[in-house]
Amino acid sequence: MSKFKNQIILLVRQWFLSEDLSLDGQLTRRGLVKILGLIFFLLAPILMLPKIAFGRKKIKKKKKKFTGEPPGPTPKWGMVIDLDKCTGCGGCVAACMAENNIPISRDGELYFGTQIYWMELLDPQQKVGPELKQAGLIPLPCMQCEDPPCVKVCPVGATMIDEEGIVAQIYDRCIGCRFCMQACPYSRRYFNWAEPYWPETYKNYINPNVSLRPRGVVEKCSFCFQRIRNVREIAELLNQPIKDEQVQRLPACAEVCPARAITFGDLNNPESLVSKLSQSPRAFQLLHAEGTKPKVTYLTKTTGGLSRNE
Amino acid sequence: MEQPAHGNRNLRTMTRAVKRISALSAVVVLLLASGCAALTGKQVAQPFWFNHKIHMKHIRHCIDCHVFAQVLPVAGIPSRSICTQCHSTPQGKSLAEKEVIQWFKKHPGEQIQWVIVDRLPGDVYFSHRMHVTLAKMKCSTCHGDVKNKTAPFTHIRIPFTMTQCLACHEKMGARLDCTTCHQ
Amino acid sequence: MEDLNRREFLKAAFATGGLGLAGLAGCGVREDPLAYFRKPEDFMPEKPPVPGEKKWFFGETLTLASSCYQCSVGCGIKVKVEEGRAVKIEGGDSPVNLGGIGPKGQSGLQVLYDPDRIQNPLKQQGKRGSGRWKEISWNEAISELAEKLTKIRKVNPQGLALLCGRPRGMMVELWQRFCQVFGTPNFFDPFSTSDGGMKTAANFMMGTQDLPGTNWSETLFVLSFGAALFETTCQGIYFTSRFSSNQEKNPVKRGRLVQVEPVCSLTAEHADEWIPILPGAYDALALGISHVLVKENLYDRKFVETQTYGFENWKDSEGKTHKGFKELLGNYSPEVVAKMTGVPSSVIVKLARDLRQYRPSVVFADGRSTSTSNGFEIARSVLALNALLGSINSPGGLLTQIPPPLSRWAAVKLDETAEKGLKFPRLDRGNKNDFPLCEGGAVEVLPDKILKQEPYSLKALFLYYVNPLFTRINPDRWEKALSTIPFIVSFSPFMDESAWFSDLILPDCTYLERWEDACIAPTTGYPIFGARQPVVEPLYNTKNTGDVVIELAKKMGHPFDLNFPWGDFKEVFEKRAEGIHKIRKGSITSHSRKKFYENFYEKGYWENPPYPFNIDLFKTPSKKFEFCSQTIKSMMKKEFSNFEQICFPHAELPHWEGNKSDFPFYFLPYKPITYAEGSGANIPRMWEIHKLQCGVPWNWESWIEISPEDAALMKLSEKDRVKVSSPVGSFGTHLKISSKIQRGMIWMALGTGHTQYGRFAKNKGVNPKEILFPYLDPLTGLPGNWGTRVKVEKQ
Repeated sequence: MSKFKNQIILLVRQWFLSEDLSLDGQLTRRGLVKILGLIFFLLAPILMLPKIAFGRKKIKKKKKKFTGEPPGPTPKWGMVIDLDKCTGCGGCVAACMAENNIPISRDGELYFGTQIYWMELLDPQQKVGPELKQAGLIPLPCMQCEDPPCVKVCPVGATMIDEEGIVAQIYDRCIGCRFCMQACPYSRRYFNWAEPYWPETYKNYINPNVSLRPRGVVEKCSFCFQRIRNVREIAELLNQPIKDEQVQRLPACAEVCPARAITFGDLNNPESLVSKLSQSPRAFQLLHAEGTKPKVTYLTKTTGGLSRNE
Repeated sequence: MEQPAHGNRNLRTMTRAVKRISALSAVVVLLLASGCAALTGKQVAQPFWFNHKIHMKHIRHCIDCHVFAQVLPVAGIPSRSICTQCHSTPQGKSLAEKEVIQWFKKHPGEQIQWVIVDRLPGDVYFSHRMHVTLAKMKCSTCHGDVKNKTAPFTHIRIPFTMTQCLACHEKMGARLDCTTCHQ
Repeated sequence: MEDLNRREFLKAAFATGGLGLAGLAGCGVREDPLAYFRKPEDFMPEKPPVPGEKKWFFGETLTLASSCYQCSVGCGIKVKVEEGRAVKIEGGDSPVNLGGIGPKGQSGLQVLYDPDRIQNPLKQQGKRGSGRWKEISWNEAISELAEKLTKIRKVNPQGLALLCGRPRGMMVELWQRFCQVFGTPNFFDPFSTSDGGMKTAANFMMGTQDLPGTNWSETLFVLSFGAALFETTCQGIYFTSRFSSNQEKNPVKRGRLVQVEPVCSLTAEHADEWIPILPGAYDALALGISHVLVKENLYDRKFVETQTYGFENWKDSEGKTHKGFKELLGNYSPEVVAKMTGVPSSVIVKLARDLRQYRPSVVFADGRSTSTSNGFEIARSVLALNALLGSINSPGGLLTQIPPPLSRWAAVKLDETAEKGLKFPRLDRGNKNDFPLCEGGAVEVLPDKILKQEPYSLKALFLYYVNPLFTRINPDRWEKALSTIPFIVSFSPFMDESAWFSDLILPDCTYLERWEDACIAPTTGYPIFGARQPVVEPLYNTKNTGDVVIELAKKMGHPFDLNFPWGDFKEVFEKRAEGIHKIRKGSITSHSRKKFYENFYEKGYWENPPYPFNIDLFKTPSKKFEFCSQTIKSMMKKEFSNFEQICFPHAELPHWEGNKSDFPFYFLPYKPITYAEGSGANIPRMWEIHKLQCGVPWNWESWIEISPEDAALMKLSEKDRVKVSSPVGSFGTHLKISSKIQRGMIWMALGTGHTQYGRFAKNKGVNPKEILFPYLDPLTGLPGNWGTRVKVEKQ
């Protein structure tokens, strides 16, 4: 027995190096740390087990407890831009800049290429494809793809597509790697190269419903989701479905368009104006072949009703 | 002969370690303290001594004064017109009330410049109407025991973290999209 | 030892790790090491305090109706105001803009919160242009002004001149009244600046002092002669909204827009068809189309017979036969016109037939169409063509704008000094043979007259919303002339070039801070009237110029106090709007006065539709549309050789300064939608949008556009900088090669090249007006931006 005991002591001594046990065989501080570490290492998976086993189910179970959704099916927001009506005035660009706190671009070679447009007018000289042959300037918001390439490449999950189909950027998570900018076939993403420039007095008109972006993050059009959220909340409170008339001109660009060329609405609702327009024979999507399934549809410019008659 | 030397050496390393650890902990404590300072902000002075406890004796519910809480994202601070519904004439004998009534007389058309202590970060959206009207949460769940507060607010009192928000949203089955709370 | 080292190593690792953590905390920051914990203000900065902030409580939001003043349309706007700060401008539901609003209207907040606004009345301390300003109080400023004016008035009341840059409204009338009471004939309204051609033509042919409105939503075929319909025309946003409501109709009835223009402008690009033409040849084309209409018997016989004068030949009381418009048209056969305009004769015939077939059809011209020296002829030919089509005061045609029924001011009571002063001729009409048909004022002739001091010298000059040192043709002339005037007062809210050159600045509020009427541009035809109310309290120590005029009148005593009995400009406005309240018609019909104004300010506008098509609206001597203007006949001196011809619309060749061999290009500067003639250049957003619209690199500040053929011929590429020179001057700039430009033409945006006007406009690009030659139409005195030839060289 004592032999066995001695062997164990030996083994322990061998395992714990000499310094771990003091000369009288007591554990030293160092040994204690080692043992505690070992115990914790062994126990940790066991402690984690219930969380792994039941944690997710718990969330799923409780999901139905609270029904804070407006009645009706989940909408899928989309936009139709009628190039036949658009006059290229740039009102949508100005409205977007005002609504979404886009800082003013600075001049000088140093800041070349740092300007940000969530809504842009497509350079007429870049026009390609038969659908765009007739058109003048083309308003170009984020296409809000159903299969967005930008979301797939983000290494930190800083961009996501929510259940209503809005591709949003989470500025706090963004690390500024700009993979998404490479991935986006429409170049609808912008990087804050410089610290955003806000002259002191211009801070007065900052929209409190849209956060300011710091330097070093990517930003993009959000379909003015702060406005959608407002409409949705009211619909939830009144327990009424969101009406199409409420949202037809909801985003800032659609609201101000003097030609009423931009229509917004729910693509899941076959009765909405935007679904009807996107079924038009004039409808087309930019870079259709990319397979990104954009939710922004364009209507081609025609050369006038009279020639159609002829 | 060896032992004292050994002990000495141990002692030396120990003291060195203690020094380093204390320096390290000082850094950590400094960081934590500054973090807390950043979270809690400076102490502010309110223009008048507002006593919630006394008011709650005469008013049934918070939203009688904080009128926007049910219908708007921002609960708002009561406007002058709400105060003067009662306080156009003195209701009690308190010094604070006298001060307020005098101020009202002196500054017609002006609002009391209450200092907002609980300010949301700019990237966070919080909708009072959703939590109050739809989820039927009690004000005290987040704001604490304001009913019994006798002094005006001087510090940030709702040091919420995203974890806490998410925990409740998960528990209640509310929306978890980033766009629900962030902007 | 080994263990010890390891232990040391571990401790060191901990220490460095800790330090690293601390370092990490410090790296996102510059001055504040705690900024790693993002504070709320990192995301949303504290807004600077504004006046009147204390009247608002936390969470309070209002939406106020007002009217835009970023261009002359006068769209309704709704301004969202949060805690005393305007945060967003949205389109109001006024019938002009139907809920939309243009890019300039959207950017109004960058005007309101411009960091370089003038904040106090300023007095020039040193030499003019030295920029040594002293801030003075309003009381001081107005007293000084009153004193100076009284002195001038005693000796020569005609020595005061007023340049007024805003096109319409009560402020113009108030200034006019002030000048009358003062006794000076030198009130120059902006009549001649942009739409002078159209206005003068409408005056002679239709008897209206204003542009015609339109009924586009009913129109099937629109032919635009270079009108900047979707850009800077006086009714831009109205046209845009009506164009789209026309497009919305069922596809069979959808209208068609054809733009005839030398360059494929923004409007031409969005039209259904663009027909290239030589610059300034619209009058020939309009007459050519008229010729085809008459020859093929396609014109509206009923309208021409009943409502026009001078179409057929007629005999006067002496028995002499006069030629009618019909016979004069014989000179403009399509083949002749094709040579004059560069438009093929088949296209001319087709246009004429289309105009007839798809009725109602209308032909448009505006300030851009009439910017050559023959602008007056262009405007008259276009109106005559509309009359042949029967599209005047008819559904889908041009409409005579009916003014709102405002009550009138009491008649002006003049004293002897005023009457003495008013007997002098206006400065631009020193010689009566100059510009016999001049209406508003041949402003461009002023520098010469001021310098020559004939017929008299100017002692003081007021500048109200006008910046002659930038926007006038060849501003150097103006600077020379202005430097001889002893006293210049500016009312500009911004430090523009002319304000910089003045002696006293009495800064106005911006349009979002003041009470004013919004006299909407002629659009709907039926009477419409808008209100402009302050949405925020004046940010700085500025004053509504209306209030300043009234205060000044009070300080100057008799006879001003009799003629300006009001307390402030709001009272003026409400007194006149009383007329609308009294008729109890239209969209607001409240009986009580208080209710009326409440409703009015809540909606922001008043309207009285529909348009009465059956009423006789021509106010000419014959009460008809006059092909042969009798007003011109009475105004003209008989000594003009082609007197008979002048009464009728006819084609004239535009004047081009510089000979073709030395200066091969037509220089066509245009007003872009963004910064018009430079007034929008202090809005940074306008620069951003303009560069998008033109598709040029961000670091370009101004550029010329040239056709690819010309560029290839001169071996120019977009990387080159070029020197553009005219007989007057030259400048260097960037070059953009664009297939939208015809050969032999140079297209360039106005509005760049400020030397003052705030940080966003200052020293950016070049001003094309510097190399323009000031040629004036000898009949009307109208200047033209298009009238100079240039050459282009690689720099």
